[in-house]
Amino acid sequence: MTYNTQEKAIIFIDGFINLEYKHKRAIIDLYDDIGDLFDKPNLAYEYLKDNLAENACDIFKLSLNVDYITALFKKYSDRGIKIVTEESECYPSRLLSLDFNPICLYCKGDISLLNSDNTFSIVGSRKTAKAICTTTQDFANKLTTASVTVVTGIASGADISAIKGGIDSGKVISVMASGSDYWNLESNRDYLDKIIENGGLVISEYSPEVPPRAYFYPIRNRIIAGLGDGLLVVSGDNKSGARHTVNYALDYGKEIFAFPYGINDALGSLCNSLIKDGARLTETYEDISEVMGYNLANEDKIELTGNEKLVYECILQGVSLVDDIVSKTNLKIFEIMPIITMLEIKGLIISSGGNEYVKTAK
Amino acid sequence: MLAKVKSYALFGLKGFPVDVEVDVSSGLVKFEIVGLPDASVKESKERVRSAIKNSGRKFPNSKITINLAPADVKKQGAYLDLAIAIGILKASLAGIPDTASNYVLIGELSLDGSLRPVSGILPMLISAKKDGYKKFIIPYENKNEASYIEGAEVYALKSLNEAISQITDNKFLPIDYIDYNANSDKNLYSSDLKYVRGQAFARRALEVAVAGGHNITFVGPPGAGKTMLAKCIPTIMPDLTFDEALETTKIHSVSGTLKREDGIISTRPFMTPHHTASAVSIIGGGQNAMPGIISLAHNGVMYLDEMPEYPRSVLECLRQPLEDRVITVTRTKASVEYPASFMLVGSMNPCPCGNYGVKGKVCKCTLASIRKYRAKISGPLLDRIDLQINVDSVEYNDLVSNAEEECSSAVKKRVEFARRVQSERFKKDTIKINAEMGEKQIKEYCTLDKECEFILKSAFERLDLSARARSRIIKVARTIADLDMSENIKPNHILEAVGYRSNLD
Repeated sequence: MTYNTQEKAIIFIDGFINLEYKHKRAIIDLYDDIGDLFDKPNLAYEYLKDNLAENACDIFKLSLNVDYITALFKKYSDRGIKIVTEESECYPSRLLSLDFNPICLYCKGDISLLNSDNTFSIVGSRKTAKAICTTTQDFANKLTTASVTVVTGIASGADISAIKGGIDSGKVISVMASGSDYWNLESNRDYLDKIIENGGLVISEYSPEVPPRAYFYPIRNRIIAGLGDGLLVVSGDNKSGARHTVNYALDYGKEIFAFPYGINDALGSLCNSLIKDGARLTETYEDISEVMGYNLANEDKIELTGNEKLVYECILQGVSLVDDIVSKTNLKIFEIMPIITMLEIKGLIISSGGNEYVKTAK
Repeated sequence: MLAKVKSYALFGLKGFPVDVEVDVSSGLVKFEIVGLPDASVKESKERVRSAIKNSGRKFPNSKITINLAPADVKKQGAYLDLAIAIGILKASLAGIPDTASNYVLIGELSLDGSLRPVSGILPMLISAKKDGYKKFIIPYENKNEASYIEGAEVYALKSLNEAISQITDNKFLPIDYIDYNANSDKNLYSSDLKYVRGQAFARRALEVAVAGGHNITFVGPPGAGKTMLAKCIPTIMPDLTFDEALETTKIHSVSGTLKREDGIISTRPFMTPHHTASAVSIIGGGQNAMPGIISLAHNGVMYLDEMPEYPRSVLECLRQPLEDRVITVTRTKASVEYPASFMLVGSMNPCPCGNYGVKGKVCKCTLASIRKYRAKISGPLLDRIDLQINVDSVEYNDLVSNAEEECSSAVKKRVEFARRVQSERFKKDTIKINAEMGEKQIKEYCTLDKECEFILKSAFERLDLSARARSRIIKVARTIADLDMSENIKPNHILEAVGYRSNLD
């Protein structure tokens, strides 16, 4: 990848991993055209001298030479990283208007996804019930089928379900909270490679050598909130990190959607309180597509046989335990088990933990 | 003068003949035992001396040398006492006729001259009979164990004096041979499936597991009835055949856990080692390479309650015996192969607090702690557990209902049928049950038609199954087909098999 002078200057500044965001931003703002940095570095020197310790300026000075810069860019290209700066053409327009927008995005994968026509963020807790994970996967699948790019993280639970749903289409952006050298610390690292292989995108605002820090995660969430046109919260309690994403999304004026939860369900208290505050209660994909103007997914009509219908009706009525279905339908357990698995395969029901089954959003 | 009598000693599960040679000669008074005796055999000097004296006989005041041949094998245990005593009396010309060498003499002496029971009688007698010996004198309390050996003339006697009068005058009658009948003690199991309320799903899974000999794990919250279900497993297993019963009894006899009144073990063993048990106690070992719990559970069930609480090293030890169904216990002094064909039954909570995924309960565990808890059972071990099922907590109403559930004997009939189908199928193979099928047998006996393949494929895609689950599902489907009296695996069987899974891996 080739960069123009402005991009190079920004990448150069962003390459100082110990320099804080506000200083980087201040230096960039000193110049009308940041491309002048290499010709007129004195402005930057003065700023550094005034605002930072003596040696900061010295390091900056020493680095400003051809060898260092060549090495820096080689480091990035060796890792297969494409860098999108705020001066770049493909910098996502959705982020440009934000306060504290990321200066650079270090990307692996298809960077054209950054400016997709339709984008939608999905967030939730790591501890998400299995049934909700499956539902999330279905939602992500339908969104990507309707040409919507799904934006999320990489954590287990909600994030990875969203990725699983969309990974085949390649319309997934996973936003990381550390430099690419540390991506393999993630427990779902295998999915990162798959995302890239399938034509998706993995991005981070941190240059490759920045290790993860706990406080990066809430900061990272502003990118997830900012990149999507809407935000779906699938799970989370009131302390959940998803709360940060929602707050950012509200600041940015995004549409908020949330799955409803039962009255005693601690894993979804955030969702319920969001709905109370005016988020859109989301039960089916149509709840999203109507508001956002997305295409409707083409549904195949699902045919059910006699006994399948019987069992499905049972589950629709809220008889969720397999043992209860047995006593309700008077079928034998070995007749019911194949039906249950078949309904699961057809996507009509999902296990909600133990031997309980509930209907899906279909 | 020199005297020679026969006894038997044990090596692992096999007995071998021991010639007790006694030489009583004039000289300095001395009592020497040679031929690799261990401490318990050396101590028999004192027991034998007192026993002879207290039986009203004269212990020779001369030089006594005893050789235990073969001299290069270590002998242990006190069962050579009787042979040594008779040998000494014979060598000291105390009126023991030559007929003494017709008998195999096994027994420990007490100081008053009475015979005390020893462990390992059954395997010794079985080997001795095979080696061509016919007449045995054993302690009276080992009588039950010995009465299952057909064609042997076994005299179960109470004291040294009785043994001598048997040898001299043939005073006693041999014990009666008992024909093995597994059904003789029907009510030995305290559990029965009819006491398990509700749990239709778990009951069916249990039936499938036992029918195919599949290992099974119950995942469920505390109080769901996992242990109760596990205890019902022996009640629906087919009866022990005589050969199986002998095998199991042999192991128990060697390890000394056989109850004297039992004689032969006719019920399936159900072993429940505590989770603090060491690897050696479960696998077998010790100085003399003794059998462990997995061998004691041979032909029965080993139940590991709260599986993740067992040290990982202990659980990993189970992998090889689960595969090979035998365990070779090797120590410096011995290397012994014990059979260990058992059904592994485990139970665990879904997470450390037990409430993860349970309706109406809040789980307080972090994701990391749940992972750590589940990771204690490694993938390779899970591969060997064909059924991993969820057990739900039972509603109060179910517990108090009077509805009669199907009893164990009805389920057992179906299980026995499925087992017969399997033994018919595996006639040419070395395996006996579906659970033992390897890739070769799966290919041969579990052909899937196109529809089944399609269903299996969509199940994997839709239900996010791990690749290693595939052969497990097929094996279980084979068993379900057997229960259904179907020659080929049908789509319904595959679908049902897919239903018996938890999300452990």
